[in-house]
Amino acid sequence: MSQSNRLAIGGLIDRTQVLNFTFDGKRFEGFAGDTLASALIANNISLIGRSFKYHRPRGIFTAGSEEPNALVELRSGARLEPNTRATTAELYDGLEATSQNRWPSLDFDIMSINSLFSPFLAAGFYYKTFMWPASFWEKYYEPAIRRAAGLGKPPVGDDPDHYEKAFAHCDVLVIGAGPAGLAAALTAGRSGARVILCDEGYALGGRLLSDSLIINDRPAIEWVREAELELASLKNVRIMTRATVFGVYDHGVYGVVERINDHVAIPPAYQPRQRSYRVKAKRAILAAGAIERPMIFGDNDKPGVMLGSAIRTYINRYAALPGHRAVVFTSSDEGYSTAAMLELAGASVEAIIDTRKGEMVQCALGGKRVQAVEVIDQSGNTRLIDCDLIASSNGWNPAVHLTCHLGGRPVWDDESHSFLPGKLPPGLSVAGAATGRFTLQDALADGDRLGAEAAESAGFKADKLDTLSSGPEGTSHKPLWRVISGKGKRFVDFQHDVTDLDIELANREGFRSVEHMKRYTTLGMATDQGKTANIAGLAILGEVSGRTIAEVGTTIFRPPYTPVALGALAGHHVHRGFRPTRLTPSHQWAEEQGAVFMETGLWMRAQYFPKSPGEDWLSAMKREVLITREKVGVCDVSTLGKIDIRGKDAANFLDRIYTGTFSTLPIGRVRYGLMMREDGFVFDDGTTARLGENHYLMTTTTAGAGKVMAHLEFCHQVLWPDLDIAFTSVTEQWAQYSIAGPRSRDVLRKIVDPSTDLSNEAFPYMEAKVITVCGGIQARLFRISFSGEMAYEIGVPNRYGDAMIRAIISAGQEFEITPYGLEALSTMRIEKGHVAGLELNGQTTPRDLGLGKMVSQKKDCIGKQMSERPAMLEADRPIFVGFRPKDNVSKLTGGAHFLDLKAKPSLDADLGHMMSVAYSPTLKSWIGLGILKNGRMRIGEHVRAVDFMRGTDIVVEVCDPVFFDPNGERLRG
Amino acid sequence: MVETYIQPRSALAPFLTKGRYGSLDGKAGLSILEVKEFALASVTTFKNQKTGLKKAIKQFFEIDLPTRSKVATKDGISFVGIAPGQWLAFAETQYSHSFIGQLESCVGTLGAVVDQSDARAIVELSGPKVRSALSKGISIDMDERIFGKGDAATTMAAQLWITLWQTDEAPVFRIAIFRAYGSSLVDWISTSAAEFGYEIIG
Repeated sequence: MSQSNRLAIGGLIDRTQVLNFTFDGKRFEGFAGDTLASALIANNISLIGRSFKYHRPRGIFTAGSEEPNALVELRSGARLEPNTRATTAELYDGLEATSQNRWPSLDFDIMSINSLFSPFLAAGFYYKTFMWPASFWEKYYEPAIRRAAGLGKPPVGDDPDHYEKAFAHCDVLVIGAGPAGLAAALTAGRSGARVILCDEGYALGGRLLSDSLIINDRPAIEWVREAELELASLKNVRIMTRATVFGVYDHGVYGVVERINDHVAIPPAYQPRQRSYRVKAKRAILAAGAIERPMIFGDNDKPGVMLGSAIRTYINRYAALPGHRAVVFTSSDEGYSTAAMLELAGASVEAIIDTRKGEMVQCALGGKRVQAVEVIDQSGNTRLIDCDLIASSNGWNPAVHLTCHLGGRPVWDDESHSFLPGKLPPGLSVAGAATGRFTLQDALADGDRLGAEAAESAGFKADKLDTLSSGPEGTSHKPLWRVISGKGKRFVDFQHDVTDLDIELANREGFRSVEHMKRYTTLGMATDQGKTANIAGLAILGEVSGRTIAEVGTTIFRPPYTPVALGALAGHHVHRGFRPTRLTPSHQWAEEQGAVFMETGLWMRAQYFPKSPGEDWLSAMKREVLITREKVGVCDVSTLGKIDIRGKDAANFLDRIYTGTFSTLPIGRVRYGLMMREDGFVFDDGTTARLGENHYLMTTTTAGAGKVMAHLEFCHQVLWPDLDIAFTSVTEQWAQYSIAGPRSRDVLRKIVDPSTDLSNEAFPYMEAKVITVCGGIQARLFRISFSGEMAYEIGVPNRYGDAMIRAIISAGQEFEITPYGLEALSTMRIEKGHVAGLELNGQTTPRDLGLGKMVSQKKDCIGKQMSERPAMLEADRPIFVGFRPKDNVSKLTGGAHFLDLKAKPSLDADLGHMMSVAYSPTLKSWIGLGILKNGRMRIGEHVRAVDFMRGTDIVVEVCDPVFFDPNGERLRG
Repeated sequence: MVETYIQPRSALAPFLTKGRYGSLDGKAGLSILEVKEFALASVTTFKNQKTGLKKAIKQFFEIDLPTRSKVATKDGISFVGIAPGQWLAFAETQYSHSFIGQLESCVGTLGAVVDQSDARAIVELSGPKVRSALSKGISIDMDERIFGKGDAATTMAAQLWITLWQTDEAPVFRIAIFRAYGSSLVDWISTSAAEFGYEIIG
C-alpha cells in the first residue's frame, strides 16, 4: 500500500501535492514538504544502504544533516550525487535515488561477507597487513584496496548546472532559525540593523517544527509563522533558507552555501544550482542548536534504531511513523516525550528502558530490521522485548563546531554533560542549545538578549521582545556512554564502521591521544565528521585509558560544517571564466584569418596563421619566417608591457633600475635595457624610448609587465621616495604592430602621413617619433627589431587597433605581406640570438647571457653588486652560446644537458643545458640557445646534448648564438 | 596623401549585441550600456604638488579633487580617486584629445597626465538588480546605505581589476576596465545578470 506509514492527519506537509519518486528503481509517492527520508519512512522502507566496511544493513538514523547512515546516490548521469543524505534531500517530483555500497542488490549484498571477517578488519588492519613485501604496495595492495573502498560512485561527465559565488555584508548574521535564532533575528531586525538569517533547512523554526511545544500558551508553530512574516516584512532582514553557514574565517567572514535549486530536478533556466557566499558580518549569533547523542549497545546500527528526536521529527513534522512497536532507550527525560508522541501517533510503546533506573538495552536483534531488543536489568536478568523501532536518546551535544573554526576548543561541562563553546571567534556569540541551554525558555531569552547586544554593538538601538513564555520541559539527564554487556557490535561511528572495540584497540596499541585515536580508527573522519559519534568516542577512550572526558579533550572541528560542492566555491570561475582572458587588438581580425591561438599568461595570442585549414604549425611557421625575411611580415606586439614614466627624476630613476645608462639617451631615441633583481640575476628586459626631457616610455616582456610595474612602484615608494616621478601603465592604450622585413618601409609609407620622412637617414635604427598616420591619427613609431630584420613598431590608440591591422595587411598586399604568430616570432629571435623568457629564467646573470657589457661600470644599479659576487664571475660558469646538430638533421630539444663527448651522464659531468630551440627555415636546420661551461672558448667544438626525458642523445656543434646576420646589416638597411 | 583611412572601434563592440537576454520574466533586472565616446586620463601628482594640483583643478574645472575613493563630477567631467595622489579624469566627449589637452594645460608641471582614453572600456550598468548582480563578483559592500552616488572603488570583480563609481541614485554605475579584459567583463556581468534578465542597450 502506498504510504502505509503515513499518519492520517498532521504534519507540515502538503497532502494536495503528490510527488512521485523512485528508490532503487521502485516507484513511490510522497508529499511536498517531505524529505527523501520521511517519504521512505512513510512508505515503510527501512533498509537504505550498506555500511562502508562491513556492508551491514543500515537505515535512517537521524532527521538532519548529521545523518551517518542513510546516504544515497541522488539523480543520475552527469547530475549524479553520491553520498547524499536522505534526511536532508528534499523530495521533488521525479526524484531518483539509489542505494550505495551493495552488489548485486541492497537486499542481498555479497560483500556483507566482510562482516564475517570483522575480527581481521579492525582499526589499523590495512597498516598492519599490507606492509610486506613493500614492492606489492603500489602494484597490488593499493589498487585492490582502492577498488574495495569508497562510498558511492562519482558522476560521469561535466556538471551541467551553473554555480555562483557572491559576497554579502550585514550587521548581524544569525546562524540557525530555531527559537533562539528567530528571537535574535527579530530583536536585531526590529532595531534596523542589517540582518542575515541563515538556516540549513527549507523552513524556519528548527526544533519547533519537530516538537509540539508551546509559546505564550499557543502552539509554537504559530509563533514561528508570525516571526517569519514579520522578518520577511523588514527590508533590512534577509532570510536565507537552504543555506548552511559552513565556516568561520578571520575578520568576521563567514562561508555560506545556499542550495538554491537542489530541491528541484533541474534548475530553472538561468538560475544557479547553488551559490556560495562570503558573508562579512559585524556580529554573529550562533543558534545552531544541538545534536542528539545515541546510545551505544550491541548491534545498535540495525535499521529501526533511531534517535528519539528524529522519531519525533518524522511524526510531528512529516506525519510519517517510523515503527509500530517501539522500545524507548533513554538516559534522560527526553525519552518520555518521544514515547508520548509515539503513543499519540498510534504506535505502541513496548517499554521505556531508562538507564537511570538501572535498566539497559544490551543488544538489538533482527536481520535487516530490528525485531526485538534484549534488556538487562539491575540484577543482571535479561529479557527480550519484541519491537520494530528503538528510540535512542542519550542527551545532546551542542553544535559548537563553528566556534572552533578559529582555534577555539570546546570545554567540558559536568552539569550539562556536554562540551560547551570555549574561546569564541571575535564577534560571535552563542545562544540556546548550542551553548548547552537546552530549554525553549532559555533559547528564546538568549536569542532576544544576544540579538539586542549584537545590534547595539553594530550601532543600533534595540528593544527587547515582549517576554515569551514556554511550557515546562524536563531536563534531567545522566548519560551512559556504552553498554558493555551483551552480544553484537557496538558501533560508535556508523559511517566509518568504528566500534567501541576499535577504540579500545587504539588505546592498547598506544594511540591514546585523541588525535591519534581518531586517525588510527578513522572515527569522525567520514563525510558526517562524526557528528553523532565523536563524544561517545572520547568518553570511551577516557574510560579505557582512565581519564575523564575533559582530560581526553576533543579533536579540532574545521570547516566545512557539512560537505560543500567544489562547484559552489568556484562559482563563475570554470571553463571560460576560470581566469580572465585578455584579447589583443587584432584578435577579431586574427580569428577571421583562422589563426590558431595560444595562451601566454592571460593573453590569447596568435600562434600561427595556417594558410589552409590543414597546415600544421611547423609548415606555417616556416612560411611566415621566410616571407618575413624575404619580403615583409606583421605581428601584434601589443602584449608587451608599456610603462609611461615622467618626472624630473625619471632619467636618474632609470639609471638606477637598468644596467645601462638612460640619462644620456637623446630624445627621440630608443635603447635596449636590462634590469636585474637585487640578487644580481636578470629580471626583465625591453626597449625604452625617450620621448621628452622628463618623459620615457619603457617596454617590458609580456610576462614581465605586471611584475615590472610592481617593481618600479616598490623602488619608488620604498627605496627612493625622494625621487619625483610618476608611472602609468599604458600597455592597453596602444595597439602596437611590428612590421618586419626588407619591404617594411614600403608598407609603412602607405600608412604613415607624408609629413614623416621614413628614409634611413631621417629615421635610422633605434629612432622613436610621435607621428601621425592614416590622415592625422596620432601614433608612435619606433625603429626597433626583435626579428633581426629592418623593422618598425607602430603604435596607434587602441580604438584604431582593429582597423590598423587591416590597413597594414591591405597596404602590404602588393609586397606579399604575411601576418606571423608566436612560433615565427620565436624562431626569428632564436636565429638572431636574442634572449627571451626561457633565458630570463631567474637563474642567469647578464654575464651568463653574454650581456655583461651592458652593465655600466660608470654607475650603480639594482643588482650590480650581487651580480659581481665571485661565484657569478667564475670563468667556467656556463655562458650563453648557440648550438646546431652536427649531422644538420637531428632535432634539438629544450632542456637537454650538455656533456663532453666521452663523459658518462652524471651531475658532475654536466656542462650546461639547452634553453630555447627552433627549426630555422633560414638555415634549414634545428638551432638552439643555451648555456655551456667555457662556452665562448668552445665555439667550433662538439658536445653531446642528452635529453633523458625524450630519450635523445645527439652531438651538437657549439657556435655563436647569433645565427643570422651577425653584423646587423639588415637591421640598419 | 596616404592611401588608407581607418575608423575607430569601441572596446566592447565585438562583445555586445543589442537585445534582451537571460530570463525573460518581467522587466530586465539590469541594463548594460557601453560608454563609447569619452576621454580618460590618469592624473598623478608630482612630489609635494598635491595642494597646487587641487587648486588648479578647482580653478579650471570647478571640481574639488576627492581625497578618498570618491567621484566628483561637474558638467560631464568627473575625477575618480583611485589611489593616494592619483585620479582618473573622465569626460563624456568624442573629442578626447581636446579634453586631454585642457587637462594637460591645467595640470602643467604639477603632475603627470597620461591619456587612457583607449586603455579602458567603460560600461554603464543600471536597473533594479544591478547591486545583486555586482555582488556576485565584487567583495565590497554594495548596499545602497554603504555605496551610494558619488562613491567609487578600485577593486576586483571576479578576478578583474576595475574602477567602479556610482553616478546616480537610481542606481547607475560605471565600470572602467583595461580594454583587453573587455570580453571577460562582459562574460561575468552577463552570467551574473542572467537570472534577473538583462538588456544590452545603446
